[in-house]
Amino acid sequence: MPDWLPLARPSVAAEELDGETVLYDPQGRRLLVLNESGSAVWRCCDGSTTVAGLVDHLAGALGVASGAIADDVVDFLMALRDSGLVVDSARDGHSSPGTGAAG
Amino acid sequence: MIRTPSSDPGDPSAATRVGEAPTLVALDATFSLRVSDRELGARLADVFRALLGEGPAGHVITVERGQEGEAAELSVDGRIIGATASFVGLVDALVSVLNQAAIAESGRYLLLHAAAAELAERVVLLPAESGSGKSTLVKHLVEDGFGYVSDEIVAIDPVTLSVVPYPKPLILDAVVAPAPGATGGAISLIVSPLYRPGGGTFLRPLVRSQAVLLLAENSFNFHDHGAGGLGTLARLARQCETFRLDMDDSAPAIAQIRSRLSGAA
Repeated sequence: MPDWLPLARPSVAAEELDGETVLYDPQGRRLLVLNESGSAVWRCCDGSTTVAGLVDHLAGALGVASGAIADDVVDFLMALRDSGLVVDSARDGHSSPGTGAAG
Repeated sequence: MIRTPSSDPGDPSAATRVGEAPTLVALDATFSLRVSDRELGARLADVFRALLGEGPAGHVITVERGQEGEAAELSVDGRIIGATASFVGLVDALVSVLNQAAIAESGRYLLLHAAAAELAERVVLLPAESGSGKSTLVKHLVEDGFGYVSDEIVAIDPVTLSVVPYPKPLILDAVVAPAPGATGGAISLIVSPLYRPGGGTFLRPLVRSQAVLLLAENSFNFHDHGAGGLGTLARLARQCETFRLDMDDSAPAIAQIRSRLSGAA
């Protein structure tokens, strides 16, 4: 499993609405909507939790084994990083207060 | 030949101010309207009466009526922008000038490509693309007893979420001049209309995230407001229900909007 610390890019605005999250990236002038699962991942991108820790936290919340969701979560995080919405806090040196997810 | 207004008050061709309140107010843009022909000036004053205000104007619009059969020439701040032989064309051109300036100079508001009407101080917002039927719908709402708030541009105060009225004339088959006294107020319902002949008339609810996307897509300056713009639209989406309205007849559309608005919190 990739070993990095996902951090929601601070310049990206987020609003939670009925379990979904609308993201606004001012740099790219774009809006995106995350469903409930994506929103749960987004909330864990605090820059202090590893990918593995994030997977374990979400699996625990869902009551499933980590292996059941790992691939989907990893792919989603990679898509967020490729889109510039999430960065690796270890490389960028920023983090926000932890969500309580295991790290 | 370009004719310029005479400074001699006794000269019948002298440009005259429109009525006693020569300023047109288009949100934060203001215009002094000078019309060389008194009769034409009176007709324009009547059409734009809901936008008449007081105080200094930031721009000057000049309308020079041509000889009989010739087009009237329209200038803004000394620059000729066009000429038109029809009254409807002249009103359309003036509205275009007002709209462009309103969008350029009213950036403190979140500006939506939308119409709006109000009933008992509850505003229904009608965001939609050009050609969707929103202008016709708002005209029918007003004929049914709703107050006219705006057409084409709706300005939302990002702090209070209230709508600032901009009751410009409606231009459909003919010019529809709104009465003065338009009020804004809090938005209680959002309905995005789309005219579909033969498709029936029905409301489809949108979830709040879709409402935000809808409003952002129909905004003139969402990106200028940055993250704050998202916050404003999210608050608006939480404040009221949002629907898409497929319509092929105004009567059931009005009834459904009236029913939803009456039941809105």
